[in-house]
Amino acid sequence: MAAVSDVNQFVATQDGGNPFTGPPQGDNPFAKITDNVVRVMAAPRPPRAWYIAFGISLSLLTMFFGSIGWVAWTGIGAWGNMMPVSWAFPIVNFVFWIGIGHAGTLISAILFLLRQNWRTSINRFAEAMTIFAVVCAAIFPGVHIGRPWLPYYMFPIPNQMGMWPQFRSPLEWDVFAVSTYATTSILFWYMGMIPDFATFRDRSKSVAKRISYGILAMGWRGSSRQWHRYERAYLILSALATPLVLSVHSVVSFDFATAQLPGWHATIFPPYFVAGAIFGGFAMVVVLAVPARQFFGLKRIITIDHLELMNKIMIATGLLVGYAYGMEFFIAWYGGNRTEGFTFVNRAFGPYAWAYWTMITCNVLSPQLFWFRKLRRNPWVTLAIGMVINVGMWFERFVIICTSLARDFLPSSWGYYIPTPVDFMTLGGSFGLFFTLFLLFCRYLPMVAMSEVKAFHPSVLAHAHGGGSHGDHH
Amino acid sequence: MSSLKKFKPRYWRSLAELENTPEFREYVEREFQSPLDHAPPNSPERRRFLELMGASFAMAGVAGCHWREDKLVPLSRRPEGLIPGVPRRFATAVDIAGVSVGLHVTSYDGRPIKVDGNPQHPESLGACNVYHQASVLGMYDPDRSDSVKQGGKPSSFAEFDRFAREHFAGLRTRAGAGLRILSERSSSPTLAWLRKQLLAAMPQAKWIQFEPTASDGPREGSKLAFGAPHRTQYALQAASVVVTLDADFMAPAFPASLSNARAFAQRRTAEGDMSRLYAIESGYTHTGALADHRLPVRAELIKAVAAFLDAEISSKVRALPEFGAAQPKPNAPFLAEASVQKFLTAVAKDLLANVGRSVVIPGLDQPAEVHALAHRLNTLLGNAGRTVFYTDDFDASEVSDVQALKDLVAEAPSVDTLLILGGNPAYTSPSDIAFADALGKVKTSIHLSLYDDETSALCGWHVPAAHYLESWGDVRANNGLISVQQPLIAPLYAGRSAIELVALVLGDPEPNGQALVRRSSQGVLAGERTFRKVLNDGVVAGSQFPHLTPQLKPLPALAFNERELGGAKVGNGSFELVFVADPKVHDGRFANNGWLQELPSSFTKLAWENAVLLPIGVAEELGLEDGHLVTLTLGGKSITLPGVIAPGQAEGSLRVALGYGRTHAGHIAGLVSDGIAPVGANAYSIRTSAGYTVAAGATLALAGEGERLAYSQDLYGIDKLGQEGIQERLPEIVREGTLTEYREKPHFAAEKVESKPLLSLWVPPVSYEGHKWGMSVDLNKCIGCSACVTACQAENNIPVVGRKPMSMGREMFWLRVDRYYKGEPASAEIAFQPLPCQQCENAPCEQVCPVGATVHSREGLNDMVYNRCIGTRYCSNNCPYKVRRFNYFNYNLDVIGITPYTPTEDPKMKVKSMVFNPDVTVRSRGVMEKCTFCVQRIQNTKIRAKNEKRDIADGEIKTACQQTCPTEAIVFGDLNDPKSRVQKLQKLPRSYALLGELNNHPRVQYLARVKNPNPELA
Repeated sequence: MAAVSDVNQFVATQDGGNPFTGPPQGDNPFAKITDNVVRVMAAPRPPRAWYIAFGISLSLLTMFFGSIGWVAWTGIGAWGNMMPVSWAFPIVNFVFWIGIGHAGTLISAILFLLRQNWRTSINRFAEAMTIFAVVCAAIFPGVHIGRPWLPYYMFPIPNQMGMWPQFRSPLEWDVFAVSTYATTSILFWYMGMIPDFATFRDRSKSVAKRISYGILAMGWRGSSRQWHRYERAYLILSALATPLVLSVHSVVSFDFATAQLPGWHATIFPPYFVAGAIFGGFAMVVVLAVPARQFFGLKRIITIDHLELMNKIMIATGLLVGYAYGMEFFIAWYGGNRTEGFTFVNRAFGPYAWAYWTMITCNVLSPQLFWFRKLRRNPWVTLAIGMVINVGMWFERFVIICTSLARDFLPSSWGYYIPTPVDFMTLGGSFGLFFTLFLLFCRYLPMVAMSEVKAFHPSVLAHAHGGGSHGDHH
Repeated sequence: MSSLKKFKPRYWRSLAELENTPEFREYVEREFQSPLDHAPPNSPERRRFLELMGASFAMAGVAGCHWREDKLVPLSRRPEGLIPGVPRRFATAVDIAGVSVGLHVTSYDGRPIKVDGNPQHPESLGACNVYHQASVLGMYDPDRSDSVKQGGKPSSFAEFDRFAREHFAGLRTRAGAGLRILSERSSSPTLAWLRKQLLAAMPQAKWIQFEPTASDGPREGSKLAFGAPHRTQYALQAASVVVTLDADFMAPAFPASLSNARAFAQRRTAEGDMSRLYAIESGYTHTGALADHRLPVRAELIKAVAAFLDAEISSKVRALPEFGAAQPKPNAPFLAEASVQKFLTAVAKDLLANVGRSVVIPGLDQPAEVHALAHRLNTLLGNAGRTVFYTDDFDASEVSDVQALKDLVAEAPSVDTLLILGGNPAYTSPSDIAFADALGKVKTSIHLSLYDDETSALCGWHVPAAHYLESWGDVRANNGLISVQQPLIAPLYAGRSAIELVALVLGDPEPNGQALVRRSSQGVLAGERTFRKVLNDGVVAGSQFPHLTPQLKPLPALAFNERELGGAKVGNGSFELVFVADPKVHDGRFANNGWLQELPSSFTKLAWENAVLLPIGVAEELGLEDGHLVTLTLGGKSITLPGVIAPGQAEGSLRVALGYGRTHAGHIAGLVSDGIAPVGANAYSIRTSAGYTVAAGATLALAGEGERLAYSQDLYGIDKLGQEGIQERLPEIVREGTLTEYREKPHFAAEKVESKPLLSLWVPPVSYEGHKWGMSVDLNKCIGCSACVTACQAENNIPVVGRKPMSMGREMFWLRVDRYYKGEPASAEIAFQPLPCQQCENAPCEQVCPVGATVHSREGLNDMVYNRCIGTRYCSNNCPYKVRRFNYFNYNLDVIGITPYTPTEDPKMKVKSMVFNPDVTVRSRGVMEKCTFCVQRIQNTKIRAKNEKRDIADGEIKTACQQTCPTEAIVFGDLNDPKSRVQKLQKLPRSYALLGELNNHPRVQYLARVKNPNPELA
């Protein structure tokens, strides 16, 4: 505790400056950065807030596995899925979490390639968030199926049954898109952490920690050859990951776009889904970053400027999403297809209008507050709007999936989906999984990419000093 | 027995034998052992099951033998022509409330699994209705009574027989003094013969007939018109103009409804000489749904309508003086309304223009005067002998059922023995007749019944009845034709048939159903050859009654009360309430049948309960939301049930179905003793003998929201936006035109949808050489009876899901009948559209399945591979027709309690699992399922044809839905066969593909509805 409050004091005096664009402010040697990050790991106990948060997350996680277990035991009828709305909460949750999982790679890879150096202080965390979100997402397609003990039928495993997946199905594309994305993200994340693991190893006091971090650091010594290879690999991986950012959610959107259901069958879906994913992903980053910088004393590293930049991205992507909403309506009218036209009017004014307007309020209206500098530089406002956007993005998927299914071509099959308590337990529980993993990450893994932060530290930039700082990793 | 008394065996087979107990002596005494005697009465365990199968095998081989006389051992040598695993079909017949139909039953290794109509029976023609389709489930119902009960305690047949022999011997000596027999209406000649014998042997006995849903109108009306009770036969294939007066001649309760429907449908082919149908009725009926013009009027006003028609017509035809004067035009204000007057004048004009080619059909529940007027109109219009025929009435009862029951109750204290043959009068009697109390006053009461029901609980003796599929008997069709009923299986619970019980009363020591049937036929069925031919054909050729030409008598001037003239405005407190037999559970007798309970009602699409149907105006006045609860009060008594808005319901008229609210029905419909709440509300409790079919003075009051209802369509009520959306796209879904339009523009149906030429990027992957299965559904002929839905359920092992899952939209029907209302709610038109899987050639479902669980066959079927299905449900999402069904739970196990694969020792469960069709996989939890075009039937026929080295003939394969359709609206066949019916139908200009603009190439096509409106009413 003492260490943390000490850090907080330190940070409080330094807060408010722009470490990257402006001149260096005050005394900020690289050692301080390392200290800040390592202190979280080295502290004997995390702050009480961590325990509270971890307790809540763990309870939610228990509920998650409990509800999934119940569903697996009794049948997925325990959820409210019905005919015609046979995809509901589980798939909404899947798309929601996959969307969240976008910002991480975007920040790591695309912004890296675009030389957006401010990314360094948030990329680690965003990557971690990506991976945990993908974990949450990947569970849903597996458990939502009618026979959850058979998802391996979707993998091309040569077998004595002579079965082979049907590759024309977008669900099959999902299998590959998501697993590729998960693999690349994990590799990217892990590789980025290697120098920091070495720092942790060197700073660890206990033997157990030294051994575990030592193994994770894979013998990193910080030699320039290692740095050379590391940077090459990082560049290659980011180049590989970049198309994935666009492809994963595009492929996920194909689940809907290639179906002939009015409301799903739209060519706008891939860019629309990617924009939405980035939008929601950034919202989730700020939701995680604001408390993390508060409780782990990282205000000096994740500064208000970072939050502001992210908020600006949210305005941009929020407008993109809003444009997509409008364009869907326009095309539905312009296309002259009566069924599709009805679907959209029904979305906005039919029985699910409440969900539609919740979505519009959260996703289109709420980010507009960020036009005000004061609001976008307030971390608590940022947090609140980030949460609202996450709600909105969840509703976006709900609106797309459920309202389209509820009223399709033949009025005789129209229905109205009502979730059961188990649906809410599974949804809430998935947050438990996410936050449990995230809190463990905060406690045990390098939350900030120390080496990268140092590389783009103003003091380094001011002296036009390139990669020389890498040698000092502790 | 005396010789056995002292006998001590040297070698003994059992301790019982050694001790020579009375039970053992009795056991030996009975020379012919039935295994049913020593097995516990309710335990068809494995051994017994084999025995039953053996019995049925034996019976299958020698169809003429009674089960009791058969060898109840597994066959050591296979009878000639019997191949295990190959189903066999037997002819039998059924009688429901006096209305009978000849049937064919498919039996699988001795176990009946499917009921269909007998094509040789003139009143079935191969079709049957939902009651018949579901009756096989009723036979395997484990809630059926399995033992004789005395005073509510289990007893045995041996004990009952001992009692009955002695008791009835006593009664016979007293000439039957104090004996009353209460029976249902029955068409059985044997029962009638026994009745005659009984009344001759015991002149002081009385035989009373009570059928809660039958009316006296037809009999009394005939007496009024002709002076004698005659049955009416309609030849609708010869009728160019049909006018119904609150009559649903295609509903199961109507005599010969199936052949009526067929004959009527013959004249509804738009390519032929189309008839015109006017329906004047209080609420929607199957007939009304097909009408070219429909006038909704309250049931009590029909009499005035009939009188009006008589006044219009009598004056214009050359009526013989002895027919009497025309009725004066009733001074009814509603008849003066321009729209009504215009309608009725046009009807009268059309009738006059079609002398000898028209028919007026009165409703069964209408009073005698309406029937008499209809007979008069038909005679005056020269229809008698052309479209209307009269035959003798075989129903022997003279007085009205209600009056007979009233008299019985009045004399209850002096009744010594009351024998109730079937029925459930304690539940079905009008609430002002205290039948249940009277039952307590009777010294000895015996109830023969399938279930230990409300009446059995109050009777001294309860005797389990044999199901019609388990017993010998005979029935008479409406035209008098006799069919013999043969058992398909040994009685599962050792039940007796009514004729056997009556024979016992008459002193027959060993009543034998088959012998009774043959004896009663007075020699016709005596010869073995004839008898076997009759069993084979299912009908006794030539037994129908000759047509009569009754003389019309002058009709006295009719009296009308104020309500019948529609004088005062009808509002809350003075609503008319029509009681109807439920189209699914009938008078309550089928309440415990899951298939029928879950079947959505044709018009409301409501399952698992009854509702009060009310016109939209009443709902608006009360502020009632569709499906919310109402309290329905009549004569101080009330019931609470959902109020459902029924478009097309006559103003001021309410309608409620009988047969619900059972307290002693079983585990499905309500069993209060086991804590199972009754399903639906008991409308008998507000029905009195005064307002028996149509009551006046009903009151409605709101009673809260209630639970979500189990609708199969419009589950959550449709908001205004949705309603508009439906009306907007309806013309494309159910395409409709008039006859004139069709003749001028034959391709009108195709032009309803503006669609660009449909191109495909792909070469079709399948060339469809060989067979190419397709279906044609004629929307002009579908009457919405839903027999196809139940037939599909029986054929394809479709599970029942229960009320709650159904209210969540999880019903499992592979085939549904969509019902659409068109136009304003008050005068809405109705259209039915049966919707099976459309078997698209370019199937959206197949492309999206990630595991290849739904694949295209070479013959163009979308096959489901259940083993492969992991249940992603993507196929359903992408199906534009939403005909796919998902097993959200293991419904067979969760709801029915059994699958064929579940190991169980519970005999009741084993009985339940006997109903499954072994040709069709029983699906488990988590897999998708859908219509397969009855692929098992296709395969069986293909195999047979291949073995016989021949081609499959057109019409040889019939899907289950097609087979049972009374109007032949569904036609299945090979589209590659240039001569096939389906190919010809799909080539008709009015044939269209539903949602064909999606380029799915569905194999099912619909024939557009074509109406034949009267230009004067257009």
